[in-house]
Amino acid sequence: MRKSATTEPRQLIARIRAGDTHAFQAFIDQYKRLVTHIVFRMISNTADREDLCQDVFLKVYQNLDGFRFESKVSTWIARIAHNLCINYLQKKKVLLYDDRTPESESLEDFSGGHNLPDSFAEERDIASRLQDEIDKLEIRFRTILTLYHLDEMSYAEIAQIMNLPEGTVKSYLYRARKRLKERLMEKYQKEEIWNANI
Amino acid sequence: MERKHLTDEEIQAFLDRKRSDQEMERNHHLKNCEICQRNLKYYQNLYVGLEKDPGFKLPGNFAKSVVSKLTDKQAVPFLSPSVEIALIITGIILALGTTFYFIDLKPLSGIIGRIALPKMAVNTSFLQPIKNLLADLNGSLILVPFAALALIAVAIFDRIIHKVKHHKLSL
Repeated sequence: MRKSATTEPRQLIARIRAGDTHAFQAFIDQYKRLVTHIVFRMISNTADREDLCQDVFLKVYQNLDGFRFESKVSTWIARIAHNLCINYLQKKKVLLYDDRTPESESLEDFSGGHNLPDSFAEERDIASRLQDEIDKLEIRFRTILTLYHLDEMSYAEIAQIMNLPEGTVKSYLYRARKRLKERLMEKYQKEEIWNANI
Repeated sequence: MERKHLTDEEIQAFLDRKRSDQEMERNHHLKNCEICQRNLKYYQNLYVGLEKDPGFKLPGNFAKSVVSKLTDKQAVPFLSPSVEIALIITGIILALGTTFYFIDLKPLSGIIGRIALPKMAVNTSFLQPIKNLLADLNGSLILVPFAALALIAVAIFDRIIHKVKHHKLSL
């Protein structure tokens, strides 16, 4: 199917700048998936997530005149979303580098362990367990995993969004995946989780 | 010589390079080592899981609600530059008036009166009200321009802060 020319970011932005609110609506629809990924991954409080997504697009609108296409539109929006989430977390005094699953955590705290009860294994599907484990990682790790795997961004783009050196992004990504793999292996029966098609 | 098992970093790097089967076959060790194959499988499953959309959803009318907030914001009229200037001038006049009212300007006005007015004694009836005004301002006149300058500086800073605030997120 032929893609509508109006969905081109430059044309869309030109129309928004001219005061076309329908164009802004289309713009939001085009980028809301990206914003949702970042906000939902960084913010645990479900009540504030939607408000934050709105704030991101209001900020985007406010700053649209200053955007000079020196980066991709998606990178610019993701950067705004990331910065707003960081501001929110700092206001709420959330520890940015807090890993929600300390090494010392007892196995009783989990529903699983090496001997995962059968009923539990039946109740929850493997993909949702993976999502739970992602949510227990540090915020920066969660964000990088999301931007790389879900939004298919490059190391350079992630570095720009999170204001980190490219090498650090690469290293965090490696550490996040390794930690995730180890935790999943540690907590759930290997055969069950790893031989299944997620 | 037998190769060591592939590290997690090597397996991840291998999968990040588009995970081509040909490349996999090229790696003799990976092909023959059960442990590394299993580790690779773990990571392959992990990658598939990470690429799955977690299903975060916003309400269907999200875009509309953002746009409505936008129009609400726009409905609040911003001050036009001419109104802003008028407000600044009013502020200056009020500040000057207050200064004149509360500060004793008599000594300075006396000096100014003596310097500026003696040679103009021809038309005394015309200059008399000014003389009287200056006589009434019994204080230090130097504070007046200072107050005016301070107000102008505040207005300029306000404009600068406003501009910076609206452009700081542009890349």
